[in-house]
Amino acid sequence: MNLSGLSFNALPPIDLPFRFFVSAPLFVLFCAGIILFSGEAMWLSRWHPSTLALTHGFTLGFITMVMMGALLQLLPVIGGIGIAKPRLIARNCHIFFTSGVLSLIANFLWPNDWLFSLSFLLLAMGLGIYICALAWVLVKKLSQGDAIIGFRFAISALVVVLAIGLIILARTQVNFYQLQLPTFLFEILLSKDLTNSHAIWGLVGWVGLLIISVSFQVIPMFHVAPSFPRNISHYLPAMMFILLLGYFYQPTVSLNFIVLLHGLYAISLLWVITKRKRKVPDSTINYWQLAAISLLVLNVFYFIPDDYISADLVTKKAVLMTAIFIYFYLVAVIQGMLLKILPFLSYTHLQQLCLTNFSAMQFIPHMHSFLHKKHGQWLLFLHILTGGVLLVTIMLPSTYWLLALLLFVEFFWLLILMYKAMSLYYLTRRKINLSDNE
Amino acid sequence: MSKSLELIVVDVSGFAPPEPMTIILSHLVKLSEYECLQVEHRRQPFPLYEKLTLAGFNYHCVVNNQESITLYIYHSGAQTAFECLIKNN
Repeated sequence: MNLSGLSFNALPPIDLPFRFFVSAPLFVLFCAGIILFSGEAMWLSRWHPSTLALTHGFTLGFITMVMMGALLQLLPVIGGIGIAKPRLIARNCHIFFTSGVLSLIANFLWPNDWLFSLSFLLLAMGLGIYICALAWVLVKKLSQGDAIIGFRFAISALVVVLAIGLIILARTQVNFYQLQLPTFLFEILLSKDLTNSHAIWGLVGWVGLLIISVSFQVIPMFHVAPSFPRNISHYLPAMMFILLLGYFYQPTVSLNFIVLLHGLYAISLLWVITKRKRKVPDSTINYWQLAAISLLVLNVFYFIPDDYISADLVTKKAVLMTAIFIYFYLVAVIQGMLLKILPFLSYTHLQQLCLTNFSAMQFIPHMHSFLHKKHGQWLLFLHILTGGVLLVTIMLPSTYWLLALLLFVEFFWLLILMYKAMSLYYLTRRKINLSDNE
Repeated sequence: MSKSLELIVVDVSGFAPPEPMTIILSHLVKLSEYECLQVEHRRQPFPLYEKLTLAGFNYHCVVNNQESITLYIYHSGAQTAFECLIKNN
């Protein structure tokens, strides 16, 4: 296969993913404030306004925000092509999405018509433009790798999540009874199960499928590990997507298989990690291990009969499982990936600047200067501690203040690590540019 | 350019990013018009391609299988010599 002569898009400017990455921990700091000021009441029901504000602040403000920024860089590296007009699209999507999430959180806390319309419009625009820009790249046939196929499923899931989310949001303000709708559409729009579908499609479809697909590419690449077993990388994303479709009709049966598939993925993830060639201490690997073990624990917890666990745990089982899935799996992987891609992106962009001036390579610091290993270990320690306190708070809401405090410390530390890496990047870039002008 | 190209072979498939790029760049600094860098890699370094063209290099990638590629990098003025090299190999 000869690929010479093809025109590949270069990496988009680094400030584009950086703005998504920096915004993400700021949302968690905001979430820590919500936890602190809402008190114990928010832990009593998932429908409490503060709980809804917290879950959306976390899943949209942190998780989706990071994923949106990471995809901008991952597509050119993995697929060989990036989105068109990256600056225009990324800048506008970031503005619309950030203000959309903020207005959605505000709408949960202080519901009113104006905030509803604003959040509906901004989120539809922010995510809608982003989905269209990505779809434009993903329908191209440059790469048919398993990761790219998985990205397609993840983006399709995001379309479903957005559509259901906007319907649920509209339901709070629009009286569907007044509309002349066909019966089946009427039933779908007013279905009580839509909220669960929204959550499952968001967590398992959009974020989960994206993380699984990314892992097929980045674990062998960054850790010089073997590829995932062919049956896993080729069939698992498609099977997960089919099960998500099945969730609309048979939620319990589909969920059983979704949990099992995650267990299977966790085992293959641990196998790939164990077989890696470079067995050097690495926080990112520890994060992947934490995520895999959490998925296995989740399997045991899900399938263990209720008779064998205490009544308190049974009552809170769904919330605890969601917390484990989000905090010990999704957020763990995202933090671990941030620790890897922040120094890598900074270093790669600086290297590319030197391609037209090789002598400037002397200015590029060592990779570890962008993020010291022990700083990453501290973040991992904080993450496990905060996650533990999150589970305790679900059972004993009176510890909410400790959770708020630890969340603040953990994500403020992440913000500091980001700032250090970015400031070293800009400092070095200035030196390279100065040497170019000499 | 009629003189034949000398192949400089470098295997970066056992290294984690960004070491492969660092090794490739350190060889490109020294690459003369009479040399061609043959890189054995696990994946295509897509972001490098456009920059190579801007820096006055041509490239040719052969995908061996899902986990192995061979990338040839040479000065753009050595295109004819490179085509001879490929034909003879």
